[in-house]
Amino acid sequence: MTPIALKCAGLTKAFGATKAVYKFDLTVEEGQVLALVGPSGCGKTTTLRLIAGFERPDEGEVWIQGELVANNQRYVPPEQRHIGMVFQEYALFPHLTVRQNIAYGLRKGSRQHRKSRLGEIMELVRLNGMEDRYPHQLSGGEQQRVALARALAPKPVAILLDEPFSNLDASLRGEVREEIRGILKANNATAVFVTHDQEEALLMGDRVAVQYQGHLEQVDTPEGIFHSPATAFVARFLGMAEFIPARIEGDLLWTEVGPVPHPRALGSGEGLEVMIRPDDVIISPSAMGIGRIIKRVFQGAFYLYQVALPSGTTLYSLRSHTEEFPEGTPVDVRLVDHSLLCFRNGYAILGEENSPISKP
Amino acid sequence: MALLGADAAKDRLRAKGPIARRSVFFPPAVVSVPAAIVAAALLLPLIYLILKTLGAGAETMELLVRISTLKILLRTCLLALAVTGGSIALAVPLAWLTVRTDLPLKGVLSVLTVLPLVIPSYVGGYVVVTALGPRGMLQQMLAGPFGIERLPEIYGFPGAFLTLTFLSYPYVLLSTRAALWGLDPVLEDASRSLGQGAWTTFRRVLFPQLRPAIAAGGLLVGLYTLSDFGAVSLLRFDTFTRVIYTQYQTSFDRTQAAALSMVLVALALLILSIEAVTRGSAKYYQSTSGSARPAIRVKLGAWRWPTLCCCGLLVLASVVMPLSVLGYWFVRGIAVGEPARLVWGPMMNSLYVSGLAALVATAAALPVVILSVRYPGFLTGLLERISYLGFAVPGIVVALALVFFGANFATPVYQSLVLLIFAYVLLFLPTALGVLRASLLQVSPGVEEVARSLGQRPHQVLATITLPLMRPGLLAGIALVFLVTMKELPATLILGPIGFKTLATSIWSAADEAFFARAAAPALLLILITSIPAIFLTRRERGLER
Repeated sequence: MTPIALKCAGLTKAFGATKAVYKFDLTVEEGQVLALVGPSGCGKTTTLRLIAGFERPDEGEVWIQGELVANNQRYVPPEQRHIGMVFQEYALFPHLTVRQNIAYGLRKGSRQHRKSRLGEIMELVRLNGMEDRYPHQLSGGEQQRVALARALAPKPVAILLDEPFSNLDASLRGEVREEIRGILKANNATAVFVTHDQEEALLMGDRVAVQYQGHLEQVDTPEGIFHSPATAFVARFLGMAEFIPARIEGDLLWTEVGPVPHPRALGSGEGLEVMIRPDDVIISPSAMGIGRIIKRVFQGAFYLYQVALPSGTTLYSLRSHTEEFPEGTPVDVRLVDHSLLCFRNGYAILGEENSPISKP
Repeated sequence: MALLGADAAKDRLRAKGPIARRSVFFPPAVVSVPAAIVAAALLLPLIYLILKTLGAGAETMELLVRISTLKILLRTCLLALAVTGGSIALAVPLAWLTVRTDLPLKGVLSVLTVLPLVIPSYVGGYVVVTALGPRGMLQQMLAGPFGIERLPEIYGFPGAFLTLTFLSYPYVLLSTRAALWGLDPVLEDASRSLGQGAWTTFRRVLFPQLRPAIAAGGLLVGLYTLSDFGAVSLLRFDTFTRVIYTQYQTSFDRTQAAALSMVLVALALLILSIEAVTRGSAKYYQSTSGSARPAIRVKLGAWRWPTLCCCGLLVLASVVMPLSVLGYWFVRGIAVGEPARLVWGPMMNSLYVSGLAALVATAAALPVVILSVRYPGFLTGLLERISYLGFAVPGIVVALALVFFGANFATPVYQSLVLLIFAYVLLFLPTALGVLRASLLQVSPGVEEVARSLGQRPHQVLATITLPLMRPGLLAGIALVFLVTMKELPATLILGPIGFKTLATSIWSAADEAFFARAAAPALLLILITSIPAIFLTRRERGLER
C-alpha cells in the first residue's frame, strides 16, 4: 500500500459564528494529486491553511507523514512542516530575483548540493535564462512556474496550491494546467490543489474531493465521482444533474417520464428520486407529447433544450445540432435505457442500504 | 462539462475577491515584547501627569473654572477652527486645480505649494512680526511714498491666524491631492452620463469621496494649531500653549501648568473624535492601480491665467515672502558682523538629536505596526491607540509630563538628551506609524507565509522578507520624523539640557528677544536642511501617483 502523506481527521475551524471547516476528514497518498473542489466559501482555502499551519484547528488533527502536527494541544509551526505552498496571487518575493526566490527555501546542505538542486529545478520548470529577472518582469505563466519551483525546491512532503490557475487568462489556463500537472507528476510530488472549477478538478486530479459547507462530501477518482456521486450536492455541482421523484410499482421504478431500469435493491419507496443528466433525456416532437420546449440554447455542436413537464418539473436535454426544434414545440420525453442513479433524501443508493456513503 | 449550467456557476464563483486573511496566533516574541515595552514607556509619563493633576489642591481646581481659563479655551478653539477652515478653503481648490485642470506650471506649483511645511511656525511668526508688525518692513516701505504710520494690528488673532493658515494648509493639500489621484474617474463619467452637470458631479460624487481626505488633513491642521507654541507666542496670542509655558516659567507651583495641560489634551481628544465621526465607518476612496484611465483635464479656458495669478499670490505669501524677509535679515546680520559659529554648534546638535529621534521613533513604530496590521485584535488595537497618543498631546504637555516624571523618578536621565529623545519619540511615533502602516499594508501576507512554509522562522522572515519590502516606507518614516524633529520647539526648549542649543531654540530665543538679524541665519539653515527630506518625500508622493 502507498504510504500516507497527509491526513486530516475531524478537522474543525470556526471564524466567529461561521464554521469554515467542519469535521473534515481527508487522506492523501504519496505521489497523488488531489483536487479539492467546492463552491466559493466552502472552506477549501481554510483547509489548506490548516494543513500548512497558518491556522490552528479548533478541533481535529492534522498528520504529516505519520507525525501529528496539529491538534488541541500540539501545534507545529509552518516552517517545521515541510509543506510547500503556491498561492493564488503567487506571492513571489518582489525584491528577489527568480534565482533568489527559488533558492530561498534551500538553506540546508552544502553549497554544491544547493547549487545542483537549483539547476535541476530550473531545468524542470524551464526557467533557464530567466534567473536574474525580477518577478514583475515575468508573464503570468512564468510567475506561476517560479512559485511552483520555489515550493518544490526544498523537496517538501507535499505541495498545496490555492486556486493556482484563477489568475491566468482563459487562453493560457489550459496550457499551464497541463504543464503544472506534468511537473508535479515528473517530480512524483504529493499535491493538494484547491479550485472552484469542476472541469479543472476532473481534469487535474488523480482524485477529486468535494467540500461543501466545510464538510467533505465525497472523495473518489474523477470518473468515480462523476458517475456515482454520493450526494445530490456532488451530482449537481459536478454536472448539471436534475432530480425527478420516482415510485416503486411492482418490479419497475416509475417517474413522470416513464419507467427506469434499476438493478439495485432500493429498499422502501419513500423519498426516492432519480438523477438525470441532459444526455440521458431523449426528446422527439409529437403533438401528443407530455413535454413542451420552453428554452433552447445553441452551443455549437449541440442544442440544450429545457423541457417543462405537466407537473411543473423541468429537465434539460442535450441533442445534436441537427435536431433543431423551435421553442414551444410539444415533445415526447423518454430516458435512455441504461440504469440511472437513485437517491433517497439527497444521498445516493449504491446497492446495499448499509453502504457507508449512503448513510445520512 | 462545458454546459450552460457549469459555465454560469463558474462565472458566479469567479466573482469572489481575495479573502481577507488574518493570522490568529499569538504574535512571535520578536515583535510583541518590544511593542509592549514601547506602550509602557509611552503611558508612564502621561499617567503620571494625570495623577499629579488629580492630586493637586483645591486652588488648582479653582484655576480651571476661572473666567480667564474659559477665555483661553475660547481663544484656542476659535484659532483652531479658523485655521482649519482657512486651510481647507485654500487647499481644496488648489488640489483640484493642480490635479484635474490644465493650469500652467502645475509641476512647479505642486512642489512650491507644499514647501511651507518646512517653515517652522516660530519662523513664520517671526517673519510676520518683522514684516507686518508696527514699524515693520511693510510699514517702512509704505511710510515713504504714502506716509502711512500705522498698519492694522497684527499681534493677537489676525497674525496667529494668518501665519498658521499659510503654514499648515499643505496638510490638507497633500491628503486631498492623494485622494484625487486615487479616485477612479469612471465614477464622474457615470455621473455625467446620468445627466448631472459638472457642478452637481463635483458636489454629489467628487466631494463626498474627498471628504474623508479633507477631514484627515483638517484634523492635522487642527491638532497642529492646538499644539502650536512658536507662532502664538511670538504673535502674543494667549492660547493654552502660551499660557502653560508662562505658568511653567514663572510660577513656583507647576501643578497649575499640569492642570491646564490636561484641558488642552481633552480638547485635542475632542477634535480627534469629531474627525472620527465625520469620517464614518465607510472607506470611501480606493486607490486603483495602474489600470484606471487618467482623468480628463478640465479646460480652464480664459480663467487659466487669472487662476495662475491667484496661485502665484499664495506661493508669494507663503514661500517667497518668508524667504525674502529671512534673506533681508541675514544680509543685515552679516553687515553688522553676526558670527557664524553661533550657528555651527546648534546645527550639529539639531542634526544629532533629530537623526537619533528619527531612528528610534521608526524602530519603535515597527513592532507596533506589525502587531496591529498582522495580528488585529483587542490588545493590539489598544496598543495602536496608545501609540497614537502623541498625536493628541501637544509638545509642551509631553515636555511637562517628562519634566515632572524625570525630576521625580528618573533623575539619572533628567536634564539629559535621553529624556529629550524620548519626548521626540512620544510626539512623533504616530508620524512614523502612519507611514510604516501604509507600507506594511502593501506587503502581502502571503509572501510572509510562503517564507514560513519554506522553513524560515518568524524573525528570519522579518529580516529577509518583510523589512526589505518595507524599505521605502522605513526611509520615508525616518525622513519625516527627522523633518518634524528639526522643527520641534517647545519640548526642546523645556527638556534640552542647560546650555544645549539647537537651531530651533536659537531662532526662538533670538526672535523672542527681537534680535531679528541673529535669528535669520539659523532659520535659513533650518529651512535648507529640512527641505532635503521634504523634497525626498514629495518625490515619493509623486512617484506613487504614477
